[in-house]
Amino acid sequence: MPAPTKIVLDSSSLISLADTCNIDALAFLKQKAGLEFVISPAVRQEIIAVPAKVKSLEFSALRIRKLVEDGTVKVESAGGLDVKTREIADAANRLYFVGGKPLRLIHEGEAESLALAGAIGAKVLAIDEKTTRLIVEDPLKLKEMVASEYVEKLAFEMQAYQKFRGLIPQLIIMRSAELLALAAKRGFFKPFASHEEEAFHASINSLRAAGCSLAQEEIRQYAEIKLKL
Amino acid sequence: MDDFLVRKIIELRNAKDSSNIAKLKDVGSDFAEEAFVRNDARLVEFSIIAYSLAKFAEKPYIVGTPKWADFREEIDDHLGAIVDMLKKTPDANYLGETGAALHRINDLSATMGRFVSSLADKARIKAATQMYAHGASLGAAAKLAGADKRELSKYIGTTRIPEKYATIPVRLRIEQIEKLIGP
Repeated sequence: MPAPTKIVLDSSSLISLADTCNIDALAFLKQKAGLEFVISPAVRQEIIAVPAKVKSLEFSALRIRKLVEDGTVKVESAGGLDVKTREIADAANRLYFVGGKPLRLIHEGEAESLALAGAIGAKVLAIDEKTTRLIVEDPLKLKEMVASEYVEKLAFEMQAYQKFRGLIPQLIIMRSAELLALAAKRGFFKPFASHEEEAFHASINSLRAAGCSLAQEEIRQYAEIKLKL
Repeated sequence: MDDFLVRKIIELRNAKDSSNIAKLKDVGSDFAEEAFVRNDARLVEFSIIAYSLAKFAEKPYIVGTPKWADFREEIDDHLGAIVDMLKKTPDANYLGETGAALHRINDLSATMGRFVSSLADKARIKAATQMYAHGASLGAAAKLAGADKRELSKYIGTTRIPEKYATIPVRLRIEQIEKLIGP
């Protein structure tokens, strides 16, 4: 039997799913598609331990904690994870320069998700925030999009990028929207009966509103996905 | 002397004095951007002061009260003290003054504001959003600005910032993953 596909979840994708009442899609995909969802210790700390102390975020934290307690989402670590995390963060944060100063683009939590993916052989990282995704998928596009925000020239260090790429595995980046699409195609929205497709498309809009980095053009592309043949 | 910092604080004071809301917001954005470029959380405090002053100035039920004039004078005293410190010592530790200014902002927000969340918290979200637009990740922007990541994510969802960052077509994204995980 093939090993289940491991997907590392960054906090941004978990937050989007939890805050749009779609967090059950993870248990659904675990059962229907045999996926294994993993978070790093930093992500666990960020979205379970800390929010549990903030009243307005407590319920969301409890919902995600339940996923960890019932085994839908596993917390994993690896030897040397903190060292690898720092290496990845340091490399990523020396890719772009403004006025000779390196832009510290990513946070250690995001770097830890990348490091963990490499350490456990995961091929997929689910992350909703745009910077980490673009650094992996299209760093020159990130440069192009961000350069217009600065008066001074934004420089991209290709050598630093080669180093960064050497530190992270080949990864498919997905967002909560793609997770939801996988679930939808396997019947997650069937309880909505004749409104199944409508519910799926509406959920994608909810994810956008919750902060998943989705362009309107992408939402239009999602609206074209038919669940029924 | 930190020319940027002194120049921007003077702009902030002038904008506050003339209740120039647009200028206050601009100065707030400039401080947030510079905080990100320098990776310096101290500059975020100025961004919060600027945004907060702008938001207060928009509210007739605040600016129409005697408390407003006293408040503005106190903020001006703190900002003036910072400029004096920086002119004497370029790397002066002004955090006591910015902290005191923020404390007054939180006081006024608590006594006269009409919202559950404080104005300073909202200002942190604005500062973090500015950093996000300048390339920071969600986590980096939230951490540097001292903003809540969830609240930041929701706020960004209301902006057009995500429009610029589409890469792979949706259909291809889904196909990639389906190929990996099988039917």
